[in-house]
Amino acid sequence: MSTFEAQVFSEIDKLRVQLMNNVDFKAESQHSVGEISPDEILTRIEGVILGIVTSLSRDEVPILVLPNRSSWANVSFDSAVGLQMSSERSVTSVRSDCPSSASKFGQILKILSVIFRLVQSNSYATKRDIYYKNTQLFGSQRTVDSIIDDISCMLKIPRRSLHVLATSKGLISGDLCYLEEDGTRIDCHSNSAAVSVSPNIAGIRNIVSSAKFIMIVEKDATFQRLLDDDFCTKLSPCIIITGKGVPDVNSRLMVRKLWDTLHIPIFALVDADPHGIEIMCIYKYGSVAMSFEAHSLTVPSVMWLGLLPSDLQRLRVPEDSLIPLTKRDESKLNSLLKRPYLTSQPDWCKEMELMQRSKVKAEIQSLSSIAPDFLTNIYLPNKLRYGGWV
Amino acid sequence: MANTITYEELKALLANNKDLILIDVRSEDEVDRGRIPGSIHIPLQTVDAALSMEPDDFKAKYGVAKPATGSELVFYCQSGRRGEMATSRAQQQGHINARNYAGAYIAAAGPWCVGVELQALQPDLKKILFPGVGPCPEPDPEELSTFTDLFGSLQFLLTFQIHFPGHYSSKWQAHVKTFLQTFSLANAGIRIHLKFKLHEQKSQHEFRVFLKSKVTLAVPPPVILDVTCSAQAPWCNQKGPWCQGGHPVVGERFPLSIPPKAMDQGLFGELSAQIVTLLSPCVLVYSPSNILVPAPSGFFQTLPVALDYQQLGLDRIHCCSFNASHGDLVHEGGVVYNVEQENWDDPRQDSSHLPVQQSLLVCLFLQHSDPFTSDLTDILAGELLLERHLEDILSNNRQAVTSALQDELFNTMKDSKQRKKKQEKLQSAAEVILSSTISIVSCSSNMDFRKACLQHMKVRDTHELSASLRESLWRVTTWKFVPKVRCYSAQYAVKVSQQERAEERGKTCSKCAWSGSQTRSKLRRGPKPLNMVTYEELKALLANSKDLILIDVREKDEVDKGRIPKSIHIALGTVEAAFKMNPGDFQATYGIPKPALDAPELVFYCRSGKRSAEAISKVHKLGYVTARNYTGSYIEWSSREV
Repeated sequence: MSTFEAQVFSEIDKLRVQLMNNVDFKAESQHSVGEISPDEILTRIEGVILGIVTSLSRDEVPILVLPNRSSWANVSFDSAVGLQMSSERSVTSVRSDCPSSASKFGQILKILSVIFRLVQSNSYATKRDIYYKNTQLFGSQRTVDSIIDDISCMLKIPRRSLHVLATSKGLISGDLCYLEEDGTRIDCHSNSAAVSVSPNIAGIRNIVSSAKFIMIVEKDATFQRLLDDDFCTKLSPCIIITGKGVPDVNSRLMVRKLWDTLHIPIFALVDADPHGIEIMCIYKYGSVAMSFEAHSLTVPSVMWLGLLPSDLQRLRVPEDSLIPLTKRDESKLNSLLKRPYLTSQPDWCKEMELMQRSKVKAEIQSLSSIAPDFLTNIYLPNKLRYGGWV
Repeated sequence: MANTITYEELKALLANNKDLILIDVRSEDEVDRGRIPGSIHIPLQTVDAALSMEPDDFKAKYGVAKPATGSELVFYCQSGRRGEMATSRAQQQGHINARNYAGAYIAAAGPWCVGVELQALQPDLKKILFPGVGPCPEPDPEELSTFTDLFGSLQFLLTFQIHFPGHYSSKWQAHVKTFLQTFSLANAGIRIHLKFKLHEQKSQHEFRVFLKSKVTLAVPPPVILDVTCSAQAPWCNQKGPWCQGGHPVVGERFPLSIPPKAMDQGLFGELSAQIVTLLSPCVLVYSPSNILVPAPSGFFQTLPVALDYQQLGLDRIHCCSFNASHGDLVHEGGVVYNVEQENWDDPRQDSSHLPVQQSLLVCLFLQHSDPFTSDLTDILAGELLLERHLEDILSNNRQAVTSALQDELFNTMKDSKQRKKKQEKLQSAAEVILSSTISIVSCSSNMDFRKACLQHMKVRDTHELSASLRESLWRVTTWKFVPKVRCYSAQYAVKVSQQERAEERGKTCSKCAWSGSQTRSKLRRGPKPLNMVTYEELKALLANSKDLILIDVREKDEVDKGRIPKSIHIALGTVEAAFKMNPGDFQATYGIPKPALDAPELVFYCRSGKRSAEAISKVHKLGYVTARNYTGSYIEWSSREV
């Protein structure tokens, strides 16, 4: 048994050694030191208010200047960090005297005052709570979410430090035990049911795991399938996690937290389509919108396990389960190929160019057209055993 | 020879002079409503006939002996204009003592001159105009245009004397001023100086409008409306940072039918109306010479009832003053409606956001053209008929007028309603901003921060801070969003086609009801170039711009009498040669480097703006595309600078 295990995990262990050599512990410890004290947060909020009062005292229109979170101009790529906000060249001003932005100005201030009280009283609220406190003012949950990200970006304080939590959509399962901030012990060993990712990742303590690797699964359906097929037992010890599509901040934080604590290889199992690649990139390199928090969100060590476009040819996936690329897919693929981080990933580029040439994409489920249990019993064990990641 | 008579003189004559014959030349229905005691009624159309009757026939018809040519004759009508016509006709027939009882207080220019003897005008005119040039009855428009372009606009000096200084009162003076104010608003091109001299006491006023733009109506025959914005609208006493400009909304033209009664009297041809609405503080004006005449009462009095104010977003409209009771100084001759807002949440208590009192000016332009009339006198008679039958005409077309008004008011109010909506949005946002700010300030335990906030707003506690923040937030946000650029922008300026010049002016006469009152208008000439500079812009350029190159294209003797500072003199005749010079020669001749083809601020001026326009067209051909014309030129400059 032990020899079998050694065989199965030999490539993974090699990868781990390689990764450990690359990890810059110094840089990491620096980042973790940058925790912001509640007083500092209060001072920053007061600074914003003082700015408004000052401009009003001069009979000037109060304006809030927010770094633009949707422009690539503000983002630079660092292979150790991922996409990080490097400059604030591109900014958005929210004016209080213009009907189109005055309500946003009001909403920002309203949420600032809510955050101020939360930080002062050391209590927490979810985005949902904030929305339901004043639904009329905000209109939609999305408004609240985006304004909170804006504030977090403006004050340069991560959302969690603002005492605003988000309900997590992510799920996790496998060889993992930890304590929540309130002392609850969470055990993710259960085979049938997954544990939802904690809303307060920063409060997680005492992580215990002997897992050899972590696998990020793009889709909830695939994740459930793996659970049903007992994947975690078959390739024990391991952890699987899903962000159910485009990951929320909590799922990304969880992956990052596990990487920081365990330093074990992390693999991504995504669809062989541009959207899947993009999701994987968000885990690995981060997104433009959240680039101001890149240091605590990205995991540059993520490897692409599957589904590789080259796998489709190698495994001779039946053609009727392949889907032709749409126009949108192609333009997405082109824009992905132009992203700054892909220059350091020649293997990824090759795979994506292969997709471009073959003009087909495939979902993970397409493997079941070969055999119903192909994914769990053949594809994944072999890929992991023989190092089939890029 | 004075051919007018004042109220006092008339009273004295009526009391003392038994030979006086007072003739009412109004129409029958007007006379039925009231007349001056002792007057006999001879309608204007029949004056000529009556005065040439045999004395017996005259006696039989009018009940008095036919006046001898030397006897005292006084004509009167509603406003004094028909009286004037009758007087001149009587004088032509030899009644040298015929006089007109001028109902109006003040003399006015134009063919409708009341109370001013043209002969008496001449010496004064000669002083101002060039020798040998006198008023001619109907100058050729082309010639007149050329003349005014070369020598500037015509100037008329009208003087009048008050016979009984005892009647002079401040109220009277206010009337004069109000009339002139209205007159100046109605005549964009005319500058009015009013000088009072009474017992060594002198006072001077100038009535003029500063900002102009035009609305061109596309429909044939093209007519240009002069949009005039008084620098300060007289009835807007709250000055605020909001837009002072005008946003005229030109409505569709709709035809009016002529009622049979008016047709019987000889009013033929086509009649159409066009509504122009304008939210004040700006004023829209019809040009060039307008005299305001009372509007027909009945129609406009009942008008508000017919309008659907719900749709207009107004709560109630009622006619608050009608037709110049003399207390209503502003809209003398017009109809004023008040709008009542029922859900007016009494914002007056809050001194920080006073509502802006806006007035909406509705101009009803009537255009009448009769293809079979070409004689000037016929046109004038037609105008008179039109004026007299306006009430009938409007009542006859009640539905068309009302629905057009409704549409136009709706269009005009649309902006206003939108603005109101935005204002509300802004207000609610401001409330959130305030409450959140105050909440953070009052929650904060950071003494330095709280102190800083209080110090900035110069208040003692958070309660005062709240009030003071509210006030300054109102100050900075209210009205800031009004798009000021739209005020006088090119969208209302001007593209007058060449057709307009070819327009047969004589055949068209237009009338305008200003706030319900009528004014007369003629066509204006000439396209106005878009690349022009106003006085204010030039002042700013002179003060701030290092790149400004200001070129005076007048002749040397004109320049010697005065010029705009920093200007360079290049006479019109030499402009082309100068701009063809090589840079070295140019620098040597004029002392400045030759302007680049895309020189940012290249401005030309002359005396009236005409020669500079010519200069610009010359340099345009040479590639100086950015050259602009200071259209006011030295005439405006000298008058504004002194």
